[in-house]
Amino acid sequence: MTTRTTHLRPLVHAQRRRSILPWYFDLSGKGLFLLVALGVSLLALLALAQTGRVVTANYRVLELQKREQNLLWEQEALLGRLARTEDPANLEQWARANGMEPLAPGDVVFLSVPEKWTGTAAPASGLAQQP
Amino acid sequence: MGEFALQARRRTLFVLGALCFLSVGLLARLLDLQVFRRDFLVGKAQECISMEKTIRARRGHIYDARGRALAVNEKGYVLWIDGLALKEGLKDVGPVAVFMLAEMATWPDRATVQTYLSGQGTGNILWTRWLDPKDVEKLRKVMEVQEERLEGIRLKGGAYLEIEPRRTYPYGSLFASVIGYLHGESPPDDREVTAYTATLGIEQFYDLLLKGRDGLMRIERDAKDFRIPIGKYEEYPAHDGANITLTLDLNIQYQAQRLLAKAMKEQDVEARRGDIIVMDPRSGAILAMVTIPSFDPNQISACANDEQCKKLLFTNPAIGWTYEPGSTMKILTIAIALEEAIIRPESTFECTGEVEAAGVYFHNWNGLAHGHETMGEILLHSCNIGAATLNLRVGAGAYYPYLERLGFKEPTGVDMAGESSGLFLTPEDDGWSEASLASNAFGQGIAITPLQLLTAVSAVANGGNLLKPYVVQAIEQDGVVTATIPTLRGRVFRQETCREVTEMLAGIGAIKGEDGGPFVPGYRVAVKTGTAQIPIEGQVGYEPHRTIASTIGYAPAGDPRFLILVRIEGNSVIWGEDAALPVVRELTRYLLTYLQIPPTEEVPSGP
Repeated sequence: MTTRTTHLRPLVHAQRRRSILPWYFDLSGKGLFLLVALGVSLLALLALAQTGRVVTANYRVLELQKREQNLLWEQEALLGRLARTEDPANLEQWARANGMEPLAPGDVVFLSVPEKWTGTAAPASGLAQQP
Repeated sequence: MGEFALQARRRTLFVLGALCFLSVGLLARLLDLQVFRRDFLVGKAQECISMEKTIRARRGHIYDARGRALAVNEKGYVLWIDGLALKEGLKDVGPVAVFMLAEMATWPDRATVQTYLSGQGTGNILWTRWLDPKDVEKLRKVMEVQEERLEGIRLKGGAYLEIEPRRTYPYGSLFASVIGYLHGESPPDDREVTAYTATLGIEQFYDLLLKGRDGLMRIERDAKDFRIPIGKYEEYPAHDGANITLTLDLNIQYQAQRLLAKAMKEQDVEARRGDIIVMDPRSGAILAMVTIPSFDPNQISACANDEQCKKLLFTNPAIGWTYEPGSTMKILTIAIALEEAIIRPESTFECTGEVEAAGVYFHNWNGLAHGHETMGEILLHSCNIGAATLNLRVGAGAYYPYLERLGFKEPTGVDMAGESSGLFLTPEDDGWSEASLASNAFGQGIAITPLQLLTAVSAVANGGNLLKPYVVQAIEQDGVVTATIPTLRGRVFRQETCREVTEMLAGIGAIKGEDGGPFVPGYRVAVKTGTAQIPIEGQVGYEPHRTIASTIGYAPAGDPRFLILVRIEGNSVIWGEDAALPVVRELTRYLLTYLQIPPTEEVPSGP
C-alpha cells in the first residue's frame, strides 16, 4: 500500500479540521452568550485583581513611606540626642564628679623622635627567625 | 383606515416626536457638557479631586569641625484649631481640654483665644507653634485621636497637630551668634507650608544651599484626602539641602565661653558684654567665636521683652559692631613704622609724657612719662606718646594706605551674614587733622570690628599675609564634598617685619605670667593688652566711667597655631591687663594642650 503525504498550509489544515469536527466553533446562541459572559467575567476579574494589586501595592508604598519618614525623624532625634550627650558642660560636670581634672600643659609629656633613626632593626628575642 | 387606527397612529407619531425632541434635547445637552463646556467642567472636577502637595526638602545639618551636630531638624508639632469644629465639639472635649488649650495658646492674642474657646471663632487659627512632646501626649489623651497620618494628627473637637520639621540647636546659646537661627511665620488662617526666614550667621549666609529645593506631588484624592491609587500621579522630588561642616570646634567654643563668662562675673562691677574670637592665623579658619550675652536660638520668643537680646537677634557683635580698639592697635602701628623703615627694632625713643598734633595734646594712659624706651618697650608700656610720635613720622600718606590694605575700609568677607566695615577718617575727609593720625596710632578715632582687628593682626602673626577669615570648612551635597581653600587677600608686611614685631610681643608674653614669669611655661606667646575708651553716642568725647578691656595673643610665637582676641566691655573702668589678659592666658594653656602643641622652650626645672 502506498501512502501519500501532503504538507498542508496552516489555514487549509484548520479547514480540514473543521470539516472533520463539524461542532468546532459551531455554538448555539446560549453557548455563545455564556462564552461571552465568561470572557467578560474573566476580563473583569483580571481588571479587579490588577486594581486590587495596585491598591495593595500603593498601601504598601504608603506604609514604607511612613516608615521611612519615621526613621528619618528618629535619625534626626538621635542626632540631636547625641549632640546633647556630647555637651562639654555635661561632660565636664560628670568628669569632675568622678574626680577628674582638666589637663594643664605641664601634665602632658611630649616625646621627641629623632628625624633620622640611626639604630639597626633587629627582631625581638624569642621571635622565630625567618629563613 | 378606521378612526381608531388613525388616532393610534397620531399618538404614536406624537410619542415618537416627543421622544425625538427629548433625544435632541439630550443630545444638545450632552454636546454642551461634553464639548462646549468640557474644559470648564473638567477643571471643576480636577479641582475637587486633584491635590498638590509640597514635598518639603530636608534642611541641611550644620556640624562642628569634629562632626558634632550643631543644627538638626527634629520632629515638631504645630497646633491648629478649627473654630467651627471647636464650636461643635466644645461639649465633647470637656473643660480639661479647654483649659489645656487656653494654657497652650502662645501665638494669637488673648482676646482671640477667648473668642475661640467660647465657641465664637470661625476658620482655622494657628494656636501655637512647637508644642512640647509631653503636651502632645496630654492632648492626644484629653481630646482623643480621630485620625493619624504622616502629616499630622487630627483630634476630636477641631484640633489638628501638624507635624513640621523643627530646626533645633542642641548647644543652645553657645553657637547662636555664629550659626543664626530659623524663624517660621504663618499668618493665622494660612494652611500653606510655613515659610521660614533664616536670620544671622551661617543660616542666613548659606540659606540657599542649606534649604535645598522643595518638591511637588500632584495626586488625585478621595473624599478623605487619601491618594486614589489608580488616579493620576505626578512627582517632582525634593532636593535636600547641603550639610555644612564648620571650622569651629565645640570644645574650644565651650572653653572660650566658660572663661569669658567667668571673667565677666569676676569684674568688680559685672561686665556689660564680651566676645572672644580664636583664629588659625595660617589659614584664616575661625576656631571659636563667642559672644556674651547671647540668646537661645531654640527660644527666640524669649527675647521679646529684652532690648539687648533683640539687638543680638540681628547682629553678631564680633563681626557686626565696631569699636575703637585702643592699645591693641599699637601692634599694627609698630609694624607699619618698621615696614616703612622709620624705625629699627633697636631704635630708641624718649617719652616725655606728652605729644602735640594739630593743637591737640596727647598723654599716656597713666599720665606719666616713660622716659627712654626701646620699640619693644613702647609696646610693653603701651606708650601712647611713642605710638603717636611714630605715626606722625610715618605720615598720613603712608599710614592710611596700610589701613586700607589691612582691610579696615571693607568687611573681611567672612562667610557669615551681618558683617560691618570699619570707619576712620583719611586726609581726604572733612574733619581729619594730624591729631587723627596721632590718635589712630593708639586705636582712637578709628572704629573697626573685632574680626577686622584679628584678621589684621593675623597678617603679623603669619608672616605678612592678609587672609580672608572663614567659618565653613566643607559643604557636602549629594555625596560631593567641597572643601574651603584659604584665600589670600594680599601681602601687607615683609616676613622680617613680622618676625621683629612678634619678638617684641613675645617679650611682653615672657613676663606676663601669673608670677611675672612666662605667659605659659615652655612656650613663647606673643601678647598685647589694650584698654579702649568708649565714645559717647551722638556726642564728641568719651565715656569717663566705662572702658573696653581687650587682649590679643598668639602662640607659639614663631609658628603660631592660634590667635586669640578677648574683648570685655565693662560697666565701669576695667583694664585689659586685669580683665582680658587672664582669659587669654587660660585659653592659651587650654589650646596648647588640646591642640597637642609641643613646648618650644626649655621649662626650667625647680630646685
